[in-house]
Amino acid sequence: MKIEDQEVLHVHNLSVAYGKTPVLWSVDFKLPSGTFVGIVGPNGAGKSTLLKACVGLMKPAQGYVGFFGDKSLASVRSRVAYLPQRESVDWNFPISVREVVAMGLLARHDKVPARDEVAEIDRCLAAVSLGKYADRQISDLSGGQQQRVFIARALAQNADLFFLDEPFAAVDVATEKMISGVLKDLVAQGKTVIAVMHDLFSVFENVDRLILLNNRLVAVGPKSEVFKPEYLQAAYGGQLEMLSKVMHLFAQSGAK
Amino acid sequence: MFADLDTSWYAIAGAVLVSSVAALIGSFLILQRRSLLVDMLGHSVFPGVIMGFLFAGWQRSAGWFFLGALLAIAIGFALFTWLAADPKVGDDAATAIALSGMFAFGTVLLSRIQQSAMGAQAGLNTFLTGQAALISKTDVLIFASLLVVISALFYFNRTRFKIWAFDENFAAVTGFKTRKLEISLYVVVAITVFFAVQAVGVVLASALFVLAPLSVLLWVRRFETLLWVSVVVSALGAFGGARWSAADERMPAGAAVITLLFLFFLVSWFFSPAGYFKSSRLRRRTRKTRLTEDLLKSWYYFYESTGSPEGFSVAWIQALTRIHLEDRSVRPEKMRSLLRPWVQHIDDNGFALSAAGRERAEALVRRHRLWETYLVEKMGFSPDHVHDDAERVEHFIGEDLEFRIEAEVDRDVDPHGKPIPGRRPVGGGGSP
Repeated sequence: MKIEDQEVLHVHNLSVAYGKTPVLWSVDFKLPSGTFVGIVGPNGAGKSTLLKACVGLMKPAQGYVGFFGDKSLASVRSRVAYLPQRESVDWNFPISVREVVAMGLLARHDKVPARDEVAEIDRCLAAVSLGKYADRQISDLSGGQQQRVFIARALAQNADLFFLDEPFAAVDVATEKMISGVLKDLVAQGKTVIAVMHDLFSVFENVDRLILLNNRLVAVGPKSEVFKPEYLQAAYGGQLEMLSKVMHLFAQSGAK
Repeated sequence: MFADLDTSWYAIAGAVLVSSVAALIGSFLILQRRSLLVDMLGHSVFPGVIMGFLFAGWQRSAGWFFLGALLAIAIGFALFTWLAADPKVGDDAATAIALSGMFAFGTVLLSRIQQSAMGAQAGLNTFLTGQAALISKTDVLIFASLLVVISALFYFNRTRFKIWAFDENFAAVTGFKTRKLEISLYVVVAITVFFAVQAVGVVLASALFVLAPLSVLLWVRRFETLLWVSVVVSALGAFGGARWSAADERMPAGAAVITLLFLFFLVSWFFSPAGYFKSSRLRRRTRKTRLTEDLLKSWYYFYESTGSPEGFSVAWIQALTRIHLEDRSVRPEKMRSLLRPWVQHIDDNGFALSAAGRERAEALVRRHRLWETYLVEKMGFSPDHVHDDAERVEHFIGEDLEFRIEAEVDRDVDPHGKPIPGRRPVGGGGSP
């Protein structure tokens, strides 16, 4: 079996609720490896919830999630990396950039990094151009740099499947380019990247596949099949501004 | 005499040990922003020991006190967790409700018990203010073994605790048993709170957990350093407070210990590298620098309008300040003192700026006008929108940036038609 054909993620009939409010209803899809997948939808569509349910941070009301051919998460944890939203942690925590990245190695084998792994940490930091900042306190960093620290930590985990919650949130254009470059490198190595995304332009630029959500699964598949006005309209409920943006993208891509 | 010394040494050792453990755990709690939670648990100990007194058949019994306290802490914690899960209540209010509810319940119980002779003699209200002197040799041994066990637990799991405290979600996805970490932390907190209440009382117990780590956090930048320095600081505070109380028998040990730690916190908050004075000193200096620079600039405007560098005076500054100085309340004496480093001499007629002063003044005006020109030429600002920004930015533009802006802009005059000094054919400085 070729690695591209392997089914890395299987979400089956997944429903998740916050208290009595259902957020995801009966979501069903499978994803192959070696793709960059964007989870897209309006605010409150359950994008982050889908991610959290996949990595076990939220208990589903029904359904299950299988990894690498329907294995349970517990049996494949070392192959799965999760990047939370940047605001979910306290950036005043007394810890250095290097220590945060070292957490990624710890996740791999639950040991304090040995000496030869320091080079590995440096490599991950260099990949996001943070080499100079290795021994800085994380509170000294800008928002974009903090996001890059998180990316470096995910790289250090050396996983096969990456779940990223809004990796492009509140970063500047240069940082977004750098992060998407790093993620595309991972995909080129046959790994799978699943990212919650906000900006449709960025989705259009970066992803191979889309999961279009609005509490229910609206559409899933390759960008060429799913990034279409009728699906986007179904997901976004016909927000005019959004649609006109999309039409603009189409006009551009048609001209290419 | 000798026996007295003995008891007070137990008290001191007990206070030091319980403070050390509290500071170690407190370091985690403050980083997880759960300081108030310890306060809630501390207040729950109060009805707990009274229930322990009742269970023991109306007598003081350390074992029953302990069990009662653990039970009450569990009830308080469960109440909090249950309430906090309701979004209409939330963490904050849940803490307040559980804290005051448990404490009020304890007070009601105590008042019923104290109506009987046996209850009145039980001295249960020592738990309100703490009574380090009542700490026995057995207690000290229990504290000591507790300290060893907890320190070992944290030492061998410190990285895991650190990751969990920093990023709970990451820890959970990575497969850490976060539930186990949380439960073990709170079991340790519950046990320590019970001893802390005996040492410093219900009301002050939480301070024993949070004051030392919060102070130390202002000085250090590493998690591991935070842990051990907090333990040392807390132990010293406890030692000092307990000695103080032993020397003066009317002084409750709890209040003495917490007062010392509180003073250390205030000192840290004011004087530490992350503290108040450091940043306010910086602010004051910036304000002073800007004011001086504005005064120097007004000399340049004077020189520009009169064509002569001589005869600049306070009157001139006051005439020009209306337009150019932000701070209009500056008195002449203050102006003189600010300008002193930049003048050759001052007499009743006015200031004569030194060569350095003139250069500085010219540089400021040059940077101001270059910035205005840059904003209009390159950034598309309209000319009447750029002055205020330039008033701020001129103080921060260094030589490097000045050269770079100068290379960017084409014109020799600013958007208001004033020449940019140093770019005029006549040349800058105007030295006589």
